[in-house]
Amino acid sequence: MTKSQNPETIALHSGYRSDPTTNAVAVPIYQTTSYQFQDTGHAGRLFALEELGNIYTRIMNPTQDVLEQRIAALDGGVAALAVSSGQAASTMAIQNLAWAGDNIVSSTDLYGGTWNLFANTMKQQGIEVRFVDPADPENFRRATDDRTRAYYAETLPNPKLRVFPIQEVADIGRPMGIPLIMDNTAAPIICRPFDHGAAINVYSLTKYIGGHGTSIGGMIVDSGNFDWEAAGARQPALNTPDDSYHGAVWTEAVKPLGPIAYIIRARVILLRDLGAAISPQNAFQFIQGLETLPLRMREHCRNASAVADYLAKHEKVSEVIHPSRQTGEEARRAETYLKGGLGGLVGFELSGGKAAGQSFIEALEMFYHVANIGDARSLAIHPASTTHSQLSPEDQAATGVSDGYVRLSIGIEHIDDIIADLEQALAKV
Amino acid sequence: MSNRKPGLETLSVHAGTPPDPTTGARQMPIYQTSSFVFDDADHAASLFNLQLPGFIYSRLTNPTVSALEERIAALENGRGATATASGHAAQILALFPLMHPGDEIIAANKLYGGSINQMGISYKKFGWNASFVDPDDPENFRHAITDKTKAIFIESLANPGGVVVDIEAVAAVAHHAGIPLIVDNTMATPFLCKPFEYGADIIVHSTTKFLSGNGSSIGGCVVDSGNFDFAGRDKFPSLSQPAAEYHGLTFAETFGDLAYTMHSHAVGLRDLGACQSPINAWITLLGIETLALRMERHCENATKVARYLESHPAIDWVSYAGLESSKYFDLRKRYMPKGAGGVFTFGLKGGYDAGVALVDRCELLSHLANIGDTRSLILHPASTTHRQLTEEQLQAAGAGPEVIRISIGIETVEDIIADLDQALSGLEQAAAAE
Repeated sequence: MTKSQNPETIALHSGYRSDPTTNAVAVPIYQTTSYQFQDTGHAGRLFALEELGNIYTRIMNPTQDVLEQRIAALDGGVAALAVSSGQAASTMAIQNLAWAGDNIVSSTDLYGGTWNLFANTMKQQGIEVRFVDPADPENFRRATDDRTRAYYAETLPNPKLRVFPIQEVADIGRPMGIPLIMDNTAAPIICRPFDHGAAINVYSLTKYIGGHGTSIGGMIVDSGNFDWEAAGARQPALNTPDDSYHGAVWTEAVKPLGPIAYIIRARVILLRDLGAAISPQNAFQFIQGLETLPLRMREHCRNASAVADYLAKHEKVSEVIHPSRQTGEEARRAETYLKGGLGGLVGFELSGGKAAGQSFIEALEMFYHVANIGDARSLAIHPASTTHSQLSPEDQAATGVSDGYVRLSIGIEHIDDIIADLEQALAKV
Repeated sequence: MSNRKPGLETLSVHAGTPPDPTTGARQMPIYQTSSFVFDDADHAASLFNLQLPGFIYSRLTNPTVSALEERIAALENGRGATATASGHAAQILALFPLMHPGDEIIAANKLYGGSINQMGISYKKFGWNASFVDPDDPENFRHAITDKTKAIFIESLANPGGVVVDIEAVAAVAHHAGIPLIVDNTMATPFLCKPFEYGADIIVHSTTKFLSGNGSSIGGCVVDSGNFDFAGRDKFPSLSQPAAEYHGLTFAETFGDLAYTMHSHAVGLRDLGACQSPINAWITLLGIETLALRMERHCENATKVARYLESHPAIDWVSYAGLESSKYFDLRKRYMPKGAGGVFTFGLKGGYDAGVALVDRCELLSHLANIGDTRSLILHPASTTHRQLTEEQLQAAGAGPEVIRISIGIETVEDIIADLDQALSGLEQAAAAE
């Protein structure tokens, strides 16, 4: 097994070498529900968590396990848990700490789907999400009270592409026993939140990690660097006896297995009870996607920067939103937290407003008009007439979406073809 | 498991797929891999020289595909099997160890139309010749055999005409001439018919049909009984004489009753490359789990539909070996006591036009060129699958202009009959209006 710290090598070799039974080089797809126990003693030890092993695919699966190990290694974490979607990952990452009556503090800069989850669905489960502007990291401290269980943010959030102050907010939370959960979906490889104090990463695998748009999936990664035991009463889920597992106190029960209390609880309690399991077929698809992730991210970033430069010079474009165009504190954060590229997303503002935005989208030939990001193919959307059309003009403005704003997820096609398509579409505006 | 020989239902869910030793996984892993690592250089050399069984490259062998091969071999009570990319590939692979340029096979003229094309036209381009005889009289095969003949090929239950062949009699003719009998058992499946019990030597399958049942994957399989001894027979030099590329190894001597299957992998799949995909093999393994249950229902439903059609005024004739009116009824009871399968043909009094119209009017029955799906399927062969055949070949294959082929699925039988009933009454009304 590789000990490499280089993402290109980890993505191909971590977590699996070859199948001991058949010598198969590709990871087998264990499309099975169940696993035969060696004997009753073995079964007993597995259920008691004295030994890690396969019981039932709702909770773990050998194909899924390779994917989890690979992504944990890429992020510099100790363990990970794959689930059925990115939303399931966000939800479970929080539910693993916060119960009814508790709260979390989240950045306002969020994917719309996560915003809905936090503002409405979490509320219905009794978990309050307090939204704060990450421009000032101290806003997190101000919103914290003794029922605050976690901080939550996205590394490179749409639509403003302002990189989150990871270290600043992690440093506020850690002395109080509050972990920072980072949604790193838009910046795998180029950002390693654990290096900057984040405790947990979540991903929608559906985006860059898959890259092929064939499968839905999510991942929670545990850094192993957060001292849950020291957090004491701040984190009752991990420090008080769990009625649903013979009164186990997770920080103590899991100690012999390593610093993985958080991720083990998510697996054996939440995945067991909520059942958002990933399909082994999907896990295999993500293993395939992951193999080229480092290469693709490099190309996504290179192409997106070239597109940002191109758009900045275009007369019909009044503003380009891309980390390369930022100044001051925003630019400092991008430089601190993104390495090897600035991501594959580019936003821009058409001087012609909503009509210009719509006609631009209609004129694109190669770009796909879809509400997705991170595909190997280039994607475009005009939020004012689609994803954000249900919002009032004021709310649209608050989320950073104006009438003439267009969002691009730049793919890995040849840069000349990407720019040619943008050029011909802009000419028709 | 105890010492008693397991039944077909048990083999269908167990054969070839013990729990995975590495992970305990109860279901067969999908080894979607091209390659396998070698333990060391000696291990690699032994694998390449066929001195050790093991996996090298998935064009030759693959653990998931091997599980399917083992399961189908067990169901047919065969010695070994070779899974292929399609049923047609299975027919090529089945003949490949036996044939050289200038050699010939004798095939029944009542075959799936695609097989008649394949054998009659494409085989010529390999220098293989096929002649076709009416299988109703087994003596027809004897008369056609020459010293170039290397095999006889029949379908146990012919597609589409409800024709049953007297396997035992044809096997006797083949063995008298020192050649193997190859039986396509696709339509009957091992649930209905066990050709090896009647002297067949090799079985081929399109696994796309009843074996998988779900219509999702293309695949084929060649099964060897292990009973035909190729050693020392000059007629079959590929198996009985030294193979230069394997350092002079003689398949029939080195591998005994596995010679034919070993050759199919080590030479046939290696060079012709028609290997089955691991995911297709896996889907087919799943399908086989319910083979017995499905076949019972296919037969029961088909019998009821055939009886309904037989009594319908728009129908001229029904050719289903499950009906007492079939001239193959007695043969079928002998070779396929549990039923006559799910596929049969019937003739419309209204001829070609009525055939086209009936297919168009069906709502539940799908109009497509497959058989053996869990869903009921209907087809007018003369205007589709058999349109490349001449008029004579059409008649010989039981696919005349008035003929409809039907593959009865496992839906509620009343729904199948209701759909045919509305389609047939639509035909009558249209005819009355003219």
